[in-house]
Amino acid sequence: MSGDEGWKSPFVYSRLIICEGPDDCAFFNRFITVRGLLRCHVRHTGMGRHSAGGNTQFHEALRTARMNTEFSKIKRILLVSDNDNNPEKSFKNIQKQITAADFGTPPTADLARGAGNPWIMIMMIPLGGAIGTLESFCLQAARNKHIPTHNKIEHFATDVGAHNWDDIRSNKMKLRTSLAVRCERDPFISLQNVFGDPRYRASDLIPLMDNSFSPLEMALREFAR
Amino acid sequence: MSPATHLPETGEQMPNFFYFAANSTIHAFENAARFSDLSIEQNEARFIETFTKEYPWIEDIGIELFGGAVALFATLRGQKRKRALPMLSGGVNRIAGILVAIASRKNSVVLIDELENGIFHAHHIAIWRQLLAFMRSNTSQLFVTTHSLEFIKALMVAAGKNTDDIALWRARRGEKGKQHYVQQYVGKDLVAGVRMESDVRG
Repeated sequence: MSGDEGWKSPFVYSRLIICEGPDDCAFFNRFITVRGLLRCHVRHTGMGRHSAGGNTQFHEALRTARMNTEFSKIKRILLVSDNDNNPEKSFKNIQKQITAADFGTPPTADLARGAGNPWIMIMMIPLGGAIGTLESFCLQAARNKHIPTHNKIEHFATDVGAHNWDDIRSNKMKLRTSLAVRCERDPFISLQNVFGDPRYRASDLIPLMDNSFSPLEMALREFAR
Repeated sequence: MSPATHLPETGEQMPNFFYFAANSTIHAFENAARFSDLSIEQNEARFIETFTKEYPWIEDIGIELFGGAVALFATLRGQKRKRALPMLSGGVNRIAGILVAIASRKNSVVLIDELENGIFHAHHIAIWRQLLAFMRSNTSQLFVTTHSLEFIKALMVAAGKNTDDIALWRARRGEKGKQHYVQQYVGKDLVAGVRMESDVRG
């Protein structure tokens, strides 16, 4: 994978994924490897700025991509963003940024391709328009693999009064708890290290081969086609 | 009137066209003649104000006779004798020459090869500010070549949000070395590339 070099290195592959932050970046890099998908560049909106990124800097990331000396090699760009609490508003925010970056008409629906060369696709996470973030997506897979642990986490959340939190915060708390109790070496492990650090990959803390990720694989295969 | 640029290949005299080579000193007479153009029109005050603001140890600029020829001289704060600008600093003399050329003619085209040569790094942003201000107020067009990412970053700081009249042309050689490519990027692309630590030089 050629995703950790920042924006300086010339593009080699024909596909570029731009996501919100380093956690997403590590996730997609690892997912593509584990699932044997087409190699592509994975970069994020905070890369080079030493920031966590976010969903308001896609326009700058697109402009930066265009400045790459080998930008002509890129045929398709995938922008990955969280649905957060308002999927429609989040989607429109990405559409606006495509226009603001002078990349032509944006796609009109999640996972639909836009016009132009390179064409652009927007992927909102979790897939299917549910409220949430990458953590919500990962929680499902972690839960499927470690059902007893997650049953206890649900009870724990209720016991400490965290069961009434909104879905996004609740899912983050549950995923964080799941990782903490299953990662003795670093109970505070970041998602970036869960996917990016070889010492933790074998633990399968978030199993990327879980069936809950199959729609994502299909979407990425379509993107790679 | 200051001398016009002469293009030997075509025989053209181009009074509103200035070219500053990377490694050649701007002739003292050229600077003095352009300053004289400004002075005759009584427009030298802005140039002097801008210049002395950036180099506060210089109090004033004027023309003096030096070894039988005219040259720009600087009045230095706290010193009794004026000094010829080329004797002070190559970088200061170069910037003075460029600014006075821009200020002396409206609607000009100015080509500067490796502008950063000889300029102290702490002056980069201010030099760009002055150049942008002079070019805009004189409705002139500036072409600058550079190998310096630091100097490009300074341009972005100096320009701030006002990048609509700035563009980057990136030239490179094709793989076989026979073809050359020039790609143009708008100011917003350049700002984004610099912010995200892309090597915008290519």
